Amino acid sequence: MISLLWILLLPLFMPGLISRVKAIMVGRKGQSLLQPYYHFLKLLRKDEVISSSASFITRLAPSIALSATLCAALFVPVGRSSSLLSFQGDFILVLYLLALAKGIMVLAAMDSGSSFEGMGASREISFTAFLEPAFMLIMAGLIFTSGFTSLNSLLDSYIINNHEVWSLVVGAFTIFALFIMLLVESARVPFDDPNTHLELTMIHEVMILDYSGFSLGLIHYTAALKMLIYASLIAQIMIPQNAQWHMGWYLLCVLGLGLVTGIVESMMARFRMNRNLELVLVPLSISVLAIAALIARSLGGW
Amino acid sequence: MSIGFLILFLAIIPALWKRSGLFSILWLLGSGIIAFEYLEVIYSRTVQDFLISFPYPIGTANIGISKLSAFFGTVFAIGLPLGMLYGHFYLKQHPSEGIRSHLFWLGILGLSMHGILWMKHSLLFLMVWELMSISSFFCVIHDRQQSLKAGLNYIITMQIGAAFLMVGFGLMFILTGSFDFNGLENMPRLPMYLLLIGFAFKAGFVPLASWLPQAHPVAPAHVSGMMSGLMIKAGLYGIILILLTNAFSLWEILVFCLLSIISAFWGVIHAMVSTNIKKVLAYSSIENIGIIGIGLCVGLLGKDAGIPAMATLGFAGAFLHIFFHSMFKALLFYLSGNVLVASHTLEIDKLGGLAKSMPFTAVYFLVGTIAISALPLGNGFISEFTILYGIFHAMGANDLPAMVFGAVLLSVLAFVGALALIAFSKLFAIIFLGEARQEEARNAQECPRGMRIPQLVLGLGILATGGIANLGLRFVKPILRWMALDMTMIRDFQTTLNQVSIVLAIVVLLSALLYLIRRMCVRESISATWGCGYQKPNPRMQYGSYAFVHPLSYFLKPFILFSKKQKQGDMAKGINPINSMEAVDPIFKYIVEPVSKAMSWFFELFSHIHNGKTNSYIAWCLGFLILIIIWVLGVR
Repeated sequence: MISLLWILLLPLFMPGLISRVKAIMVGRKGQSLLQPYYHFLKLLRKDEVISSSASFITRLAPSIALSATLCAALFVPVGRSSSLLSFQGDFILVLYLLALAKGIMVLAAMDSGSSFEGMGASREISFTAFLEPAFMLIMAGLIFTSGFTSLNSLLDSYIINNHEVWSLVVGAFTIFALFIMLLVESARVPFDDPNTHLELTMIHEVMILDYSGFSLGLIHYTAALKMLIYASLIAQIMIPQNAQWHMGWYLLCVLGLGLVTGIVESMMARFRMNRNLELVLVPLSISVLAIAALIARSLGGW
Repeated sequence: MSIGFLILFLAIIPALWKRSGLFSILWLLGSGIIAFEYLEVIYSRTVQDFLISFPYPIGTANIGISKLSAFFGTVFAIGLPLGMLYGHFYLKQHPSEGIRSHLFWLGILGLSMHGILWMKHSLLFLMVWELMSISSFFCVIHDRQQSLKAGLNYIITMQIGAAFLMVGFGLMFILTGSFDFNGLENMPRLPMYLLLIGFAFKAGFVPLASWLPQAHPVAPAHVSGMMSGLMIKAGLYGIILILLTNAFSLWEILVFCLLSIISAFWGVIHAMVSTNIKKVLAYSSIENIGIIGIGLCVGLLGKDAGIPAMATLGFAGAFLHIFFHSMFKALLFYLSGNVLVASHTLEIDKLGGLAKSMPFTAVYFLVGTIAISALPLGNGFISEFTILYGIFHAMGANDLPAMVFGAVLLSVLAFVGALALIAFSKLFAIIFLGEARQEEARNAQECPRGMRIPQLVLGLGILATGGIANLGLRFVKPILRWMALDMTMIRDFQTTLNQVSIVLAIVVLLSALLYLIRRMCVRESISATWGCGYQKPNPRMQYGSYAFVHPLSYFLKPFILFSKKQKQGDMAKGINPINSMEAVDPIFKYIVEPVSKAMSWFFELFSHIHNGKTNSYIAWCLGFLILIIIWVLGVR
């Protein structure tokens, strides 16, 4: 139950942290860390303005996206406490639930008939083509060390052994690939700039231009939750084997990831839009490398 | 069983009197009885076999049904009557003169599809197979003008496929001396390859699938639904028949793997860039055949590597996908018929905003979209889940080919699934969302209720088999057991599927809850779409179908051939320049068309024989007789 509380409360902390880090990096004081929470609660109290082109998809999409993402998050372990749900092979369901959330939001973006939103939708959905196989291969890689089980025990029994080169290399590959996936999926620089002022150059933000009020609140929350899912996956891999304070390590890793994301955002410019996809291939190619290394190792190395 | 078939035969009589209503009712009735009895065959051990004596050269023929054919029979018996029913209402909207022959051939098509499952004698099998090809050809060319060319392409392709089958069965007869299907066990390689190629023509494996995107767009909606959802499964039936009774070397499995991967990839990238609804669906059939092939490969690889769980789940996933694909593909094709009836066009870039004028069609299409892009809640997810689940068993199993090809198939399945999501979110979004792009779509009206009945049934079926994940597996399990696969892990897998169902239920309940909260607490006000400061947006400015897939199609350029057309405009005269771009099928353009041109050139050489002069005909006859006499005397 505690992990459910963490899953429900923690997500909105990440965007706050990132924007604070970015503000400090450019020498501003920045907003309160809890600002996204206030914003979320404010949005929930508001009424909505709906586009005249909108059909039932617009009204339905945010709730489906949030519940699918939330159900996916229930499979992700938080700290020591195991995930709320788990069964053998549940990560396939997690991946496809995230795809469902993404698909329905893309449809909602097309629903308004705005060409800007269509642009965002088309860019957002193109990323899935390379991220889904990458996620599958990363999971396949974890299976090599822990056997075919649930996401929870896969991450739990995955150990980066400091004294073995293979494990270090594969672990580093996996973490790097997941980190890039985190940047892409949560719409962060260098793939997407959430703070840009031109609709032409946005991805996630432009998809939700016509949302307001309650629905917009749900969408913001969904986006933050998705980021937390990826951050938790990375954190679980990074927790040392015999750590005493699992929850502490977990929080440290998640917040550290927020920090790193903020620093990356401050240091880098957004990549060229039409070449973004080439960079989204990076996690896929890294995971291919990782799985090649694992296959080689399981056959006795060379 | 015989009563059911009797009713189906009787259905031809109202067809001759143009009574399509009675025709479809008889089909519903007969198929109900047949489906029930097929299920009895699947779940019990009673197998009905008849030995029937025919005159020479057929001899004693074995006509009967195995669990495998009963499985396909059930799929046909569920899908066909729904197609006939849809056809009844669809033909009402599209009245034409040829309805008598159309209904007749429709009946023959359905009967021959059931028929090939019974034939265990290669000559009879070939006869019924030909009947199926010919009757489907006549069904395709329902409206004679536009469809004739594509229809001819289809029938010729089918004849080439049948030629492979004939040679294969002929070789089998020479080698074993019998026409019986028992000879299919442990076949010599050459006839086996020929048979596999012949069946692959029907199933639609790349590079033999160029007839699918040609024939489907011109066929009536119910015919393409039945052909794509059901008839191509007859080809798969043949392939599986051979796969089950022969042992394969690793190399052969890998070649099959590669072909399946290419089919899936090829199909989906062309589905992504096509702009005709039915073309998208036809290409997606190729993709799904590829996915079924991948499932079969996983099964074969598992057998080869000695990983029983992988083998069982691979075959289970393939069978599930056969069943589910027959549902969602048929549904989507029937819905394309709705769109055609309402807007008189299949070009998606002319449509838009139909969700508001055709809410039922839109909801059913959304269900089909979810199923075909393998998203949870649809049944496509369950079959892909099963295949993926099987592949994951290969990881860390210390078998190099299983691991390497497992990893490859894994990423291909995920990649193809994502591309299918793109293709079908494009299709749904451009047709149903936003604003109408042209006049046709603006005046669209919801279709009459009758057309929606089969769609409702199929849609509910998709949601039921997708939501209650075990339902499909229950249907497939007896066949897996009959195939002597290892069933020890199926129980665990069923628990897993139950857990999947629970999670899906949570998703549905949670979203319903959120939706209700929003409905209760939030007041909506309607306003124009935010134009980002632009004051006069119009529907043509919406994102189009090509723009939507542009990021990826740009990336996949090496695999897709675009033909660009440019027409110079003259601004002074007010003629706008027109640039258009269309994806063309390289196989069709560079293989099928040149070959058919060469063939017609060759046959043209003999066209002088037919010159209309009686005396020259007599001369040909005389010459032929002389040749025969020489041959007979020479042989003596």
